[in-house]
Amino acid sequence: MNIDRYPEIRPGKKVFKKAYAFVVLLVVGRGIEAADRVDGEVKDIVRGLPEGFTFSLGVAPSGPWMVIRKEKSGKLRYLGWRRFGKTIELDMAIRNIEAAFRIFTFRESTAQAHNNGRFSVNGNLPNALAIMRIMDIAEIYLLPKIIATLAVKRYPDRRELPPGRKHFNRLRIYLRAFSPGLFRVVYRNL
Amino acid sequence: MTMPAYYDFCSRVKTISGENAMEKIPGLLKGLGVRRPMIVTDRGVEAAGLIDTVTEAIDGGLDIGAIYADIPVDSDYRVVDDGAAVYQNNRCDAIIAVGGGSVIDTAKGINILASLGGKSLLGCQGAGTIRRKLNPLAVLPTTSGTGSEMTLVAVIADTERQEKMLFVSHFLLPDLAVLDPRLTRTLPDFLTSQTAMDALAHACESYYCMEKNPVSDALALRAISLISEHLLPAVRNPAETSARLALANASAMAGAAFSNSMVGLVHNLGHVVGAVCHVPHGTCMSILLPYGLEYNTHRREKAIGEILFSLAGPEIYAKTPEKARPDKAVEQIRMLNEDLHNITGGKHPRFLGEIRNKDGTPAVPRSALPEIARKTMADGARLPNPEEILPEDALMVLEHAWAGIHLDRSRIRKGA
Amino acid sequence: MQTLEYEFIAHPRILYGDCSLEEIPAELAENDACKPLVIASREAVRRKLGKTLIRAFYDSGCIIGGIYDEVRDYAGISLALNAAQLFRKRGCDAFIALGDRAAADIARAANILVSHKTDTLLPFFNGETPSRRLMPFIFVPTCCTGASAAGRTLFIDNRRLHSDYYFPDVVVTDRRMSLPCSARCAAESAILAMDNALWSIIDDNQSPMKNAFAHAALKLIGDNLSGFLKRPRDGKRALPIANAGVLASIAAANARPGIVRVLGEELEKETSIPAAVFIANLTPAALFCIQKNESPLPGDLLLAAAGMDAYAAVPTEQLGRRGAEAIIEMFESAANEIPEAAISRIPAHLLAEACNNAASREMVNFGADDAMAVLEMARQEMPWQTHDNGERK
Repeated sequence: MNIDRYPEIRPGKKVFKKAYAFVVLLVVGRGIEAADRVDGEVKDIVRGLPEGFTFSLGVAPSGPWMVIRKEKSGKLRYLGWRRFGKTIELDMAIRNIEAAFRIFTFRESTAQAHNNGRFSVNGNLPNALAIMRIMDIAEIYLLPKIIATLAVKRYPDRRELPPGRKHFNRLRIYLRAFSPGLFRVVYRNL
Repeated sequence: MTMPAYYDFCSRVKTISGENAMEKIPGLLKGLGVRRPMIVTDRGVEAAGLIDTVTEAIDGGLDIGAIYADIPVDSDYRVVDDGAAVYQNNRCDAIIAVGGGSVIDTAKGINILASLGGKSLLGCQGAGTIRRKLNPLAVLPTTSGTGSEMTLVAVIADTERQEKMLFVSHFLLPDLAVLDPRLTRTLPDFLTSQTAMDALAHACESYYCMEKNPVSDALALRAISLISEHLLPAVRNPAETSARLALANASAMAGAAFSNSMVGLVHNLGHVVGAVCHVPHGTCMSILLPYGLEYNTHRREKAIGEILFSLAGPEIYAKTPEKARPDKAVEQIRMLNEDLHNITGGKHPRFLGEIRNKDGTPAVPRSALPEIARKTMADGARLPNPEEILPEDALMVLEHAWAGIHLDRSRIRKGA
Repeated sequence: MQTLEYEFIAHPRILYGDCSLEEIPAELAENDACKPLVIASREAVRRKLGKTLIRAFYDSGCIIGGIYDEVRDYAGISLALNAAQLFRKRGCDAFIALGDRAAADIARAANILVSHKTDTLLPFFNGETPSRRLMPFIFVPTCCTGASAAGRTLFIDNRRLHSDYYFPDVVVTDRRMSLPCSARCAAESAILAMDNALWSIIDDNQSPMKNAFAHAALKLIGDNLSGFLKRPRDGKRALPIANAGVLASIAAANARPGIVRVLGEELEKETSIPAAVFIANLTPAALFCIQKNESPLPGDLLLAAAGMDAYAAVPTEQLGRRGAEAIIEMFESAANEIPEAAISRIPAHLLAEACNNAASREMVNFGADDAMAVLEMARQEMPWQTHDNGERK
């Protein structure tokens, strides 16, 4: 048999989808950092995380990623997309880029994606649950209601999150997320 | 049937059921290449004479390498390390686990260490450690509730770090699950009732949680039918072999269903109540199950209504208008709890406030509810629940379950 | 009451729906594999499904050891030997079968050859059981799978081998792969799946686990069949039917083969007419024979085919009959899409030979007379639709 008739295949890359995922992770990373400075519930959750706690969220096996750490000040800080040289205590990875694209285009909510086994989690489960709750809150602030309802299990009603507070906090989070700090972190990661 | 956009299902456990199921073990294990299995169990099971029954049943077919019965109620990784050393020293090549959830989890832990090698289970932690078939594991459950014989999870305590190590892999699914009524014949009535209610909670929750799928649905409905038909006879008359075999089957099927569809509010709250107040898991399940259905009805009205079909039979299902079916299902479960309470002479509690410690003090003081509600956020079962569960929601449900009153649905937050 | 004496196994992990194809690399990684050999049917490659599979591996870090696409309708040992040789030379560590039953069987056979480091299947034909530690085997059914490819039978060179180890480890049902190629293929797939599910439920081994799989399959078919037959390429209908095929084949792997399936396969051998054509025509007759012999049909049939509300509205004593009617209706709607079997035109000696061969197959629990009775019944003009007094049921 001539085995050369059946060549070995090295599959390619999905450049556009990876680029899109990269941007979403950047925005979500900065959004989480900002939400920790604005929202009371996020602050409470972060208080329960150990100091120096570092987690990454990204797409397995080859990224993109985002890395966030709880600083000595007790605040979360988005460290960028490079994982090298950082001790990751909680590694949350979406199992493939196609699933990541579904999640990041809100065709599958974070909770449904978790239930569908799209995430592989390596680390302490309570911390992973805490991070998922923070991500939900960040999504509620970052996204318009029509999209956020697709991303989270329960979009808070007026009693749970009064509109005034929601819009004020949203504005603060956007301002913080896209403040000059963004350019600093991008520069540091280049 | 609403087909999910995506699902995965895996339950690759060979199940052997029957009044002489244990006699088939030697042949089946030999088919897996086993020559010298180790029996893993606890002192309670051993004292009940079940190990003698097991060894008699498999007598002559296999050479028992060792019997490891030193598994305490609060088993941890050191017990696993110890068991694996016994396994290796006796050159065993498989494990037969005889016991409840704790024994089965410990046996899974021993199997990880014995198959992958090493001195301690601590070295086997981390995602992706288990990437190949482990040595054969046969599970003989002695309670009809946990469903651990069908799950891919092993939870092993690390008492030094006060953490629970969670091992999840399809390779942790046992090779054999043996359902034989002789294994549950010594179970006291109140334990039969509580463990079966645990299985009922697995089946019901898997039927309405977010990962529900056609296979887990079919398994869950059959499990619910078997429990509703056989639980009361088995509790009334423990000698009734067919009822006990039916419950063992229901437990295994509910285990296969929930292992794939996962569980929600009932387990979310139940795990924490159990951990904080040291209440048996089955007790929490039987009390909280109606609340799980009530809390999620607005999200899963049709599915919860369908539970009534298996729970009460086609006649009552047909007589009940579609809108009233979820409430009727809840009522059926409450009636079942009430019946079990009466049959067991009050040993089967109906609400959290009723549970007593051995010294007669309340096991779940009302003052503990806020702490329990807060800790539910750290339990994985909150994710598959159809409705979001935040600490305020958990507290609201717990208050109702503590007092034993119907859930006030106007207090359920349904979102915008 | 149900007897609970049984053995049951459903080995394959079922992946269904959106993005399930992209789960394959992670699935391989969980099995410590990263270089699969794809064994594909010619037809699948012609339909560019190989390329779709490759795209699912983008950004995965896996290399595909090769796509061996020589498989046509027949699974022969020479193909398995070639596939095994390719597997070894490329240093592969897993098998992916893409296509129909033949592709799956070549993958199974090649898996035994490489896992046992041998070049012959003879010992296995002579009763040796394969090792527990075979290479990971993932099956991606396309269309025309014969509805039992996800089971525990290896069918090679016209010989059948049975073992739990022949189950695929993973079966992937994905919209991009599993849609039928034609209306006829759609009808045949549905018929074969219904047949597997139906006879699993009728089987004398009443394992509730097996019945749950069969029930789920029949329910999926019942819910989707009419829409599926109208628009076979509509993924919303076609994919649940494909999934039902997988579930039914798992149920059937735990039951004795049904009389209609076995007879259909034997008639196919004699006449070269596809088995599904016979199955569609013989099933109503076989159900009528069962009822005529006063064997009760399980009420589960009605529950699975028509749902809880229909089941609850029927008196207990009529459950079996109404279940049979619902099933026959389903078979008839699918049979409209395929040619009639015209059993009366098949020479009597071929029918007799098929009946004898069917009765001598492994694990069957019927005789040649029973098979002949079904054929005789099928020759009559739809007797199953009338009561003894001539009334339509």
